[in-house]
Amino acid sequence: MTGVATIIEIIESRTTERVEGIIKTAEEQKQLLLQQAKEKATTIEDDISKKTELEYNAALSRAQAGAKLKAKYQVLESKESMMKSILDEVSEKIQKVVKSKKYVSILTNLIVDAGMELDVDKLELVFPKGQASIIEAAVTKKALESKMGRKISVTISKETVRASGGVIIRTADGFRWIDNTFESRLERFHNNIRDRISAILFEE
Amino acid sequence: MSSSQDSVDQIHNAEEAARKRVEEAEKRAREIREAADKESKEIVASANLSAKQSASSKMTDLQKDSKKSTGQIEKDAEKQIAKLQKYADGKRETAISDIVKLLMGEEQ
Repeated sequence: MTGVATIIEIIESRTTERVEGIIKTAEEQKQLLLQQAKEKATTIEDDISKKTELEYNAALSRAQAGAKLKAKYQVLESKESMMKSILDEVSEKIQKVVKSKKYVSILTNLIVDAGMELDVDKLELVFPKGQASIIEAAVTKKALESKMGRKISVTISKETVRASGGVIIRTADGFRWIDNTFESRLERFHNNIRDRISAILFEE
Repeated sequence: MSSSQDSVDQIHNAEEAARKRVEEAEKRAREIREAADKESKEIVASANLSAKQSASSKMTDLQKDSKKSTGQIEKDAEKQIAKLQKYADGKRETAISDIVKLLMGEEQ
């Protein structure tokens, strides 16, 4: 081989080596780029998937919580409606009681209980309009004295109270009283009444 | 002199050919990188699109799933109310009698 041929061979050999190096580097860069792209793609998919899962779960939870709250209110409203129905019928029954024979004994009991609570010797009774004549002061006085074991003075006031039934029992000086009209008792025992109705109707 | 010139020419030609091969290789390398760059962008864009489509599909399911779930809660509430009503109806008279007695002072 001549000197020129050797030089040319060396040039070609080095060129081949350089060309292969250039292509190899490019291929390596390609693999790196694709690998990075695949990793980025996986990250994007994971991020969007997780975000969507969170949004889905949060929205579903909100919907369920809203539905549960609504259901709870519906149950409460139903209970309230049943309770109101009971109270309405109680009001009707009370109206009928006023016209019944046992109303006198009911009034007597209300007066005696209040009289014992007030524990004074002179009592005055205030009835709803038109009901003062239902009961005799003498009968009431006797019942009170029997229970309290001493002489008691009972007078019926000319005043009236706006109520469907029952009676206000007060001391003669008017400083202390117990309002035993049905409406007042309904208000006074309001919480107790609701608790009783709940206990009976809903076993609460 | 002529032989010497030939040698120089041959070497020059070989170097020129080498330069062209290197240029072609560099051009090919650029094409490889550009293609890789394009392909990688397509991979990312495709993943993004696919993930967003999946997300959209999932959120579409939400409406259906939510309706199913809340519907069951509503049905359960209706059953509970019906059960309450039935039991309360049976205890109605007891409750009325009890409250009337309380108001009449027959029971404290």
